[in-house]
Amino acid sequence: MMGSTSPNKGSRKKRSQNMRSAEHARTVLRFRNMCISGAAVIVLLGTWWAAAVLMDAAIILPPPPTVIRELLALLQSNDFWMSVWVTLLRGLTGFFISLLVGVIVGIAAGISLPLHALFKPLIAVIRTTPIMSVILIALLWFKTGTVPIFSSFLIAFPVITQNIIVGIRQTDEKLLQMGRAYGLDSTRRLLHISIPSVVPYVISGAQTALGLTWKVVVAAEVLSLPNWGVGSEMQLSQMSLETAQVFAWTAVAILLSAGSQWLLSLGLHSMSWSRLYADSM
Amino acid sequence: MPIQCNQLSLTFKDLTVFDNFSFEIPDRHVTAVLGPSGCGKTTLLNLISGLLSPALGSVSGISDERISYLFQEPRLLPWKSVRKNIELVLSPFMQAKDASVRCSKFLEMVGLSRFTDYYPHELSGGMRQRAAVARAFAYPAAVMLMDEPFQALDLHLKLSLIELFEKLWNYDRRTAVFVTHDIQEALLLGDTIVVLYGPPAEIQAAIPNPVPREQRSLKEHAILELEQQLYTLLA
Repeated sequence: MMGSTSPNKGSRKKRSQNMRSAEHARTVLRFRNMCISGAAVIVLLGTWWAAAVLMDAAIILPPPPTVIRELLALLQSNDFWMSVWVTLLRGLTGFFISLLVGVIVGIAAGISLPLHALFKPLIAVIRTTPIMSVILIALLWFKTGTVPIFSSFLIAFPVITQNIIVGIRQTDEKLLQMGRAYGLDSTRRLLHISIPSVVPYVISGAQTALGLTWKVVVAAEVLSLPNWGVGSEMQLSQMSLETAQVFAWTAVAILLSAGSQWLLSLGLHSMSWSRLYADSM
Repeated sequence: MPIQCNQLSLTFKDLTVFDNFSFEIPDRHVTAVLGPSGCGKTTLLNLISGLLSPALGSVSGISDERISYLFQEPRLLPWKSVRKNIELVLSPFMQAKDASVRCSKFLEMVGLSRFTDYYPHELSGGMRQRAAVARAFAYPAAVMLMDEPFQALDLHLKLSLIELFEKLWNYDRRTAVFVTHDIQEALLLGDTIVVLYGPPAEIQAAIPNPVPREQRSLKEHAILELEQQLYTLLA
């Protein structure tokens, strides 16, 4: 009768075998790719090291061990942790304001065409403005500690907004029509069809925005030199020709950015947010 | 109560899809509407369901009755399990517990009991369409509209789904309008086969199926004769 579509015992066993071998093949591929990435890191470090040895001028290019020593020395000072903490706070403040404003503006502009027309030029202008212009202008308007927050907000929120607008526009018209045909009211259609279909766009927007946030925050600190901050320290090291320290602070900025992005993706993954959301409704 | 389409007129831009079109759909029958692509079949369903309003004329016999729908694609929400997909359409007028019981019953009837908590992407195309069939029948409606729901499936799956449809349809015998361009589907499912021509849509023939539902097969002599007749009409 329906034997062809309901998996019978034989084919189920075969299917699980197929799935297991596919799983195995994926693991092998993942391992291979990790090896390639690891090799690339080693080659990069080796090139750096070789160049540093050849140049033999630590003030231009310090070798990796010098940078690591410098970093370990930094880790032991309280000032270091204060700077990291303050930069972290600035970044997170900027990011969460971007997220909040980005989601609100994005949903509004995604649903309403007049609002989209209103925000479109603003978003287009901000997206094409050089980051340095934003920071330099912010320097004229705000206290040094506020400049990184404002700049990162201005750069990051259009990314989130744009993603959400696209997400809402991409909501499958066929699913919405199904909802109407089955008599679901507009609230149910919004909650169960429109919002869940936007969730992946919010997530990818947030990830891009978070990456941008750290770049802008550090750049803004370099230019505005607040009392504490990774960017301030980087700039001060550069001015005193402490090249190894510039490299060490750069490593800190990279770790801050990579760590926060890793935490974000981990959080999203473990919560499996969209599915959790959908199941709770 | 039969569904009456009274003197419908509808124009899209320059294309007149319906011009003074009248049509009666008998109660508790499956009416197969057969016609080439673009003759206004889907538009007819949208007019009956109220997703579209005619410029002139009216549809009667259906007001404040619920309608269930089978589309060309399953149209399941990808972020909900099969069970949640069905419970969602039941939720506006049913307690969660009753919805859950009803959902389980229909998933069992379509042979998906073991897959209730699967997400659509974890199922095969045929299983997804069966879930959509379960949703359409679990939805307590007096009228069911079907827009080429078996079109995307291969012959084998198509026949098994038609068989499944008959089994569920026998359960409450709701008024069904089945739109297709496939003569064989129309022969197997339709109690009446209406041949549509257009645009603007015109009924070319309305032929009662000579073979009772249980005996219909593509080997039946009377069915084959009717098939010949329909080929001539559509050619």
